[in-house]
Amino acid sequence: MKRILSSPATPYPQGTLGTNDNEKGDTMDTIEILEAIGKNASYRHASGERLLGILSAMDASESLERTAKTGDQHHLAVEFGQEIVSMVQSQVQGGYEDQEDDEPCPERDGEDERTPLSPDS
Amino acid sequence: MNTPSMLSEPPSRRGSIACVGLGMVLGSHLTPLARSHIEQADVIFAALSNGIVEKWLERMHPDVRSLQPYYGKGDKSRKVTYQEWVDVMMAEVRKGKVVCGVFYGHPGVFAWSPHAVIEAARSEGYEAHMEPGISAEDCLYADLGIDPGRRGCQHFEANQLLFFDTRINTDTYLILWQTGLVGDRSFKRLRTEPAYRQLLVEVLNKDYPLSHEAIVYRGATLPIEQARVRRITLGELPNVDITAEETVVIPPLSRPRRNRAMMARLDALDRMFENPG
Ligand SMILES: C[S@@+](CC[C@H](N)C(=O)[O-])C[C@H]1O[C@@H](n2cnc3c(N)ncnc32)[C@H](O)[C@@H]1O
Repeated sequence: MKRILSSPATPYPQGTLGTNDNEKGDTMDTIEILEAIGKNASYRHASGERLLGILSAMDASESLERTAKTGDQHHLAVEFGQEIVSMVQSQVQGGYEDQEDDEPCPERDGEDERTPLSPDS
Repeated sequence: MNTPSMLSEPPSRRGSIACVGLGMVLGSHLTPLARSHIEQADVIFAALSNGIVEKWLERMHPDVRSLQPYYGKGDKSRKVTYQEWVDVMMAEVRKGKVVCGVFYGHPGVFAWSPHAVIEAARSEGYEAHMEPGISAEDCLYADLGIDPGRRGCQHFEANQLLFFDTRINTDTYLILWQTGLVGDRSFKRLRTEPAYRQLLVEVLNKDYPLSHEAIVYRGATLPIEQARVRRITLGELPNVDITAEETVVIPPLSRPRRNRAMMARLDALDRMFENPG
């Protein structure tokens, strides 16, 4: 996974490449490249061609370049395995069970049932 | 771990827990203090947005234990999983370990276990606290150009609108979390079908016309991504695919009405305090 930067004269500001452990010019793997981009103001919002140029200069893996091109993180599964992509799950368990189902809702008592609005009301 | 042991270990070492946020974007959002909690902990438990972010965290500490395997594959209630998360973290705290729970975004925003573990630890006399992180909510304000103070802002888990008769103030922004699995009462499913979102739309349609705008928002999690913003109508909501990583924003429909009685009372106070005597 380790890759060598293609040129020692890479067009990056001093100290922006690599992680805390890596100095400028060290090899960077995919995670280090992502971290370097994430913390650099001129890379983070680079779009399209420019971002691809930055990745190519960093000698990013094909799967990272593809992810950047398509916006589809699934390409990184090639490098990291199937389990990596979106692990987001609902993390609220509501507290709904604390409530009695048929507990009256006092402030709504006696109020008219609301009816659906028409499409252009 | 990086601090001299004299400083990091009090004389009678007791377990503790800190729940910290990693923020949303790899490399961009982790605060220096959250990083320090990670580096100084004995053991890390992690519930993150994807495996790449988890790999990044593994670079910061040699003992990162993913909480991901506690999820079932559609066969186990998340209520069980989240209690298990609390239990495994507490087990290490009771062993006297400095524990750090790392959660994506803000650990206390639409997340049950971090609050629960802090409460459990404190109730047993352990030191526990939460360190805020940049949440999906924060990214949403930045990417959509919304200031929650401009018109007010209400946040609900989408289920709350179905399970409870919930009052909506249409003068404000309405932010719906976890819409992708609205209507799931088993707490086992990862998504629900359009028919469930149709019920949500029915509820919303009591306050908003079907032609009203709905914004489906996904903030970036990798720094090579940009936010995805889909602008649709409320009526279209059931038929668009909404992932677990998306939040739905309903912009204000109405304008707030002036409270004339209160204005008059403020006038009276102004007269009294601006021209005393
Ligand atoms: C369990 S909550 C966790 C929120 C997290 N603690 C935070 O601070 O943002 C999961 C919900 O957060 C929202 N969410 C998570 N990732 C998101 C993203 N990348 N963009 C927008 N919303 C997101 C979605 O509404 C999702 O259903």
